[in-house]
Amino acid sequence: MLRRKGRQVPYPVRQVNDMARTFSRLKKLLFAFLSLSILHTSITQDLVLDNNHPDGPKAKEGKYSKALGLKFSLQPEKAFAWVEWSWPNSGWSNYGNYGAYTDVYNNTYGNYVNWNANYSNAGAWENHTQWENHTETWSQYSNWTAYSNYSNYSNYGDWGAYSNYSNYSNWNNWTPPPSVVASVQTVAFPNTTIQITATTTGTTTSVTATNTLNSTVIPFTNTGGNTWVGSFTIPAGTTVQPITFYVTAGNSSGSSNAVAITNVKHFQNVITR
Amino acid sequence: MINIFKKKQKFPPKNQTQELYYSVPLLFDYGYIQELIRLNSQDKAKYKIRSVYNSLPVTSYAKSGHEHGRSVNLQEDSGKIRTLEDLRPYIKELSDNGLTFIYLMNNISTVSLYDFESNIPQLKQFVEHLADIGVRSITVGSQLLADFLKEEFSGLAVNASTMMDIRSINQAKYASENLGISNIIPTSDLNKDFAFIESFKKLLPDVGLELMADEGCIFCCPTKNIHYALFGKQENIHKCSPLFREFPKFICDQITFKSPAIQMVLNRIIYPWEIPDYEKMGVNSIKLVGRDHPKPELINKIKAYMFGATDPEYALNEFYNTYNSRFMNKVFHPYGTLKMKEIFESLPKLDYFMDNKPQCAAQCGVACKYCFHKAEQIENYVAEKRQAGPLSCAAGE
Repeated sequence: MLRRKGRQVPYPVRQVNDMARTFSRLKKLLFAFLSLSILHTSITQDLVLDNNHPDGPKAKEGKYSKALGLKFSLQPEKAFAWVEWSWPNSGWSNYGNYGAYTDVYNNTYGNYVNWNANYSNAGAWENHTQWENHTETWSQYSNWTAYSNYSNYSNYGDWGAYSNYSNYSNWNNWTPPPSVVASVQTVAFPNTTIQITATTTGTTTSVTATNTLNSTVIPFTNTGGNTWVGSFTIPAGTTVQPITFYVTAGNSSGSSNAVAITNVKHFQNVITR
Repeated sequence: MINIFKKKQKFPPKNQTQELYYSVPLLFDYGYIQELIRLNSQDKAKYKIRSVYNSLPVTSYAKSGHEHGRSVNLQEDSGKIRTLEDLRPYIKELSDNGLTFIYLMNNISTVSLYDFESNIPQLKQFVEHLADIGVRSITVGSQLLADFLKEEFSGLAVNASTMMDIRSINQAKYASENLGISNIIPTSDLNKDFAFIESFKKLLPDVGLELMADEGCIFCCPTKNIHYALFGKQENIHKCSPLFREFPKFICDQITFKSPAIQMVLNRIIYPWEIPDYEKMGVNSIKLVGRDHPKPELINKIKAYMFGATDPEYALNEFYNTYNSRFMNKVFHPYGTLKMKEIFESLPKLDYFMDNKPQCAAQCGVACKYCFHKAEQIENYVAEKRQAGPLSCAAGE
């Protein structure tokens, strides 16, 4: 029996041994895989960025997304550049004149002066995917030039000198200038073209713009009616930086009250941040 | 893959276990950050800086439709921060050194419903990007924005700025329960209102109570809200003539000018030597202002708070205008340049507020004249000093 069995056994034994070996290999593989994956998760999952919020803030669909039906479909590459309005033609744009705080503070240390200089960069922030139609108009603000009457800004140093401002009633003293300047600010990205449109009133015979990047004078073309269009290509290699266009409208006759810019807008391609 | 070896982490409310800490402005300057780290490493600084805050400077390009911070530091901003990506290395440097960066979106313009709604997509994307560069905590000035962040984000810590003007326990409760705010910085008018502080910690033990120690505003400023509003919406401020733009500023200086001494005693500055008492009362953190202050002065002040909390001598050796930057105004120099040790005895004592719990906003100058008596002492001191002439001043210092 033994012999017989012994004679018959080798094949099944070999088979069993093979199976055991295969199983053992599989087991090893499985263990190796398990261990490695556990090791991997231990390493990666343990990189806790913040004690309070291990995974960091995550966006979710809240009531503002859902109930308002808002679809946040913005592309992550899209940037939010900005457009700045400033009206440098008016008297008050010159912050330098605005000596009160300078006088008040610079005795302590000179750079205190800058504390109040924050406002120069004010801007309305917009997203440059479409034409921006500014409703602000030059003529609306041009009345502000009446403030140039307040050359006594230096009186700010005198506390209680508010009574000096009785000449506020001079609102109507404003005389329109022979040519007007409006400005629009955006961000100069190399190799992009910025198109500027100015809408004017009155007998405008020419519109040009200068920019803060170089000395190019951009001639505008009349595209019908009161609309003037000019464009400027930011040279390749330019550092990304703010750029301001000063758009000047005038007429050849020099008549002092013929021209006003009512609207300036600009267009830029999508910018990546 | 589930990590079976990893212990389930528990995240206790942040402020509960930690001892009192400072939250200070971030200047975009690695030298400044190194200085903060150096200060933190010193044994004599008992209370450490745990968080720093700022927002994008106005000169940056990335915006969500609002100017975020109430003001910015132009001195330290030389075009270094143009995009959010430029913030990333600073946040990393800070977090490598145990400092949390808090992004400020406390501009009051975010309370404008129309502006807010029209900017929602930008805001959402902006905050997602903030999270991506490592921001975990945002300070907001508007309940609407807080609600938005709660609804649209998970895992984001939101702090209530003083811009939210929380001045009652009810407001604090609402902010915590309805807006999910985890850290509240009430108006600094309440800095010495121990009835409020006690109630706050009793009602909301898990919510962080952060006090802004050195706001330069006058006590219970009558134009505070319009000031915030005007300075907050900078794109509008630009369209406004300086005469209007500066209206609130002149009001506070005019009020101060009538009696600088009274404003000194009424101002709810928390002085460094008072901080251990606040810690005992359960205050979690102390915020120092100064994003728009020059770096040397700012560091000087932070030092005064860090060292002065346990070494009053250090803090008393500073000028008054170290703690109240509005007294940098030369009109107030006779007061601003007083050394703290000269007037220490004439300043209202914290014990008085802790023991009597006066309701300052309601009673000041009517039912309680404690501070006014103190102001007389300061006024007399300054008058005497002036009479004595410059010689004795020189000898005294």
